Amino acid sequence: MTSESSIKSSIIKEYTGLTRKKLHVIIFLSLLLIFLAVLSASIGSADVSLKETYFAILERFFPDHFDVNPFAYTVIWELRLERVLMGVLAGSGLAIAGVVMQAILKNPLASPYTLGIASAASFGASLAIILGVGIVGGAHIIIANAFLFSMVAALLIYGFSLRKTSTETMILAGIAIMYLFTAMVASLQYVGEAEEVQEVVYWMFGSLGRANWSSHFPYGNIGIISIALGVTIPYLFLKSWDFNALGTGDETAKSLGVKVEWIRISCMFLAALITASIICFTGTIGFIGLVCPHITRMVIGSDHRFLLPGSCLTGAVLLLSADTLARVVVAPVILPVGIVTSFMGVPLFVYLLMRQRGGYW
Amino acid sequence: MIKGCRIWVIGIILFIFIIILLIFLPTYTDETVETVDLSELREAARIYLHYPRTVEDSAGKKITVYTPVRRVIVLNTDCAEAVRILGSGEKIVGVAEGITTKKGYYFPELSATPSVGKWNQPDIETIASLDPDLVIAYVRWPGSELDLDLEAFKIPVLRLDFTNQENLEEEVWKLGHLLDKEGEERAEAYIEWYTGYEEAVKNFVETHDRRPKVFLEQSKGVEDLSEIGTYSNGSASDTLCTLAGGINIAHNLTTAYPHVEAEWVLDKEPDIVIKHRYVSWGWKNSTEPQEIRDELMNRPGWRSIIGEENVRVTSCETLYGLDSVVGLIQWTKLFYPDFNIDSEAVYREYLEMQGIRYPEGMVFIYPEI
Repeated sequence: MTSESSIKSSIIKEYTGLTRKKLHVIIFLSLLLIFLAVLSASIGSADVSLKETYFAILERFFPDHFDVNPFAYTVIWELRLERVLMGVLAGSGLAIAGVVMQAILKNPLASPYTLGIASAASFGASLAIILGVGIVGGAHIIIANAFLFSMVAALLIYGFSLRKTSTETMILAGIAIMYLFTAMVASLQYVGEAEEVQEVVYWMFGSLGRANWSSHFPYGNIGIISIALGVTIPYLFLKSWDFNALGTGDETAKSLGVKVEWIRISCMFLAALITASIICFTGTIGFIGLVCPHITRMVIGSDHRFLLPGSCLTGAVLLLSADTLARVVVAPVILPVGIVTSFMGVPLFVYLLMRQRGGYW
Repeated sequence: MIKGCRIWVIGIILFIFIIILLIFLPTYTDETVETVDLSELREAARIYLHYPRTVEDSAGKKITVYTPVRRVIVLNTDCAEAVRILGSGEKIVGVAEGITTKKGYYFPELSATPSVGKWNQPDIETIASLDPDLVIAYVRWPGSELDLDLEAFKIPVLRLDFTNQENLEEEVWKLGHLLDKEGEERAEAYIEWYTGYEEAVKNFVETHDRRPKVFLEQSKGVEDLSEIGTYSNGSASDTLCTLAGGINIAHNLTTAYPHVEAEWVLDKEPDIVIKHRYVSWGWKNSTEPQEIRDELMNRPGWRSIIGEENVRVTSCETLYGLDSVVGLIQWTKLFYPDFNIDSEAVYREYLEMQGIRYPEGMVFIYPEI
């Protein structure tokens, strides 16, 4: 009896220790993100000193006590902080969409990119850029098209989900959708002018430069993404136990009371919605959704109660640091953030992959 | 317990620090008494008379300047060329990277001008740091986020293309009007010069009934004879060909920049083939364009059906933009050998307006007309 209780207490102790370690990682990532946000806001090609940066930020909240020149204030509030916020939101959103897709499809290769959602968005954007065809006209034609076609791809995957097909079939269907839209993008590029094709390529690289906020509803594209994430992420966090149960197999999850089909359909839709609402403004940033969940999983394990917030933070940290680097490395030329993200993330991913003994998935 | 105390202590220190910061930090005031001298008063009176100036740019947006434009940023070579021909070259304080790198030979005076990044994705912070009165960009590139970002700094973005013959004169006048009085005068002089030659070509072409059939081949090299790039309705080369009195055999194809098979070209039996090539201005000698022409001639059937003497290789330098009238005269002469205006003389006049020397001995079209 004594030995049984001592084993029990040692298991509890070990579990508490592991949980504490995961919490520490999440706290570390949060602090790193704050540090990076401040660093990113203070770095740029405009001559704004560190002191001016802080004063500009504080002036917004304490206008009677801080006063910097209007140029520094505008650079910080209208350019840099918009990018910082977009980096945090887009990185978090794409990473959580990747985690959710991998969890519900039980496949490490699932991501908004491999399931064709990003390719569909690229097709929508290409259609607007090259042929000028869209559901709305004017300045929002690319955004509306990218969003619409992302959701078309999501609905196609949703259609497959309704047929209660296996996860493998859904992934294969997603890959088929990706190839279809990629071919459609290629056909548009074939007929487009050199400048138009270049614009499509730029769009597909991804950029945080299109970030903006406004004081009126829906508060610019940053506001729209914030609303989309604010509505979806709490629900996904609430379902973290269900994702854990799904990892043990559909039958086990059902026996634990999880509505497997509903979770799969609803969460797939939400992940697609998050992806669509982000990439229609930023362009396709494919790497985050696929690899950030894996990087986080290698560090803090597969418990979705920690994996979901952890991936959000990893995605935000990676995208924000990549964008900061992209802005300063060959300034004033701004490198496409999608490329820098891959250059930074792949070595980290490979390093962690090599350190793993046995499988982690 | 100790850990809890430590957190409280740190919290209290931080709180005290913030309070001290808020209490003791002075609020900056800017109390200076300004005096105005006579020259400033005269300048103010002049500005009052001639400003604000408003134009509607080619994107349909109204741009207003309230004081004389003294600092300009240009995001492409066409705009830079337009600003220089209007006598405001010294007002350029920032340029897109390609202007000084890829086309440095044409803009030597801008070699030390700060770069603001790529033409289609400039760095907003650098632009704002240079404090321009006006930024000039193409109608479509960079996207509308440029206007939105620069609006925060109250920097207007004027969107003009200078590549479309149909509204070229209007665009030059608008820019001249916005720049200053000298800009207006120079714009009028340029338009008079341009339309003079344009009318001469038009009047000449109207007197000829027989129009030559022309095949226009794109600049890039051809690896696959079923993939030859050409120009169709909606492209600047097609417009130039029509104005010069030629019939573009690809005019009615579906897109502006279609690809066709070599067989299709031979079937249409063009009288003239013009191979385009993007080069730095022109060629120093005829070796390279000759090699390009040989490549075309070695295609099965081209030498015998089209004939070597009917194939020309041209630099794209004078085909588009403000100097496109040079290309227009060159092509008219090519289509109608009895047309008697010398394109080289016209190009010399143009470069004189630009304030740069004619590159003696440079080959712009091979074989020369």
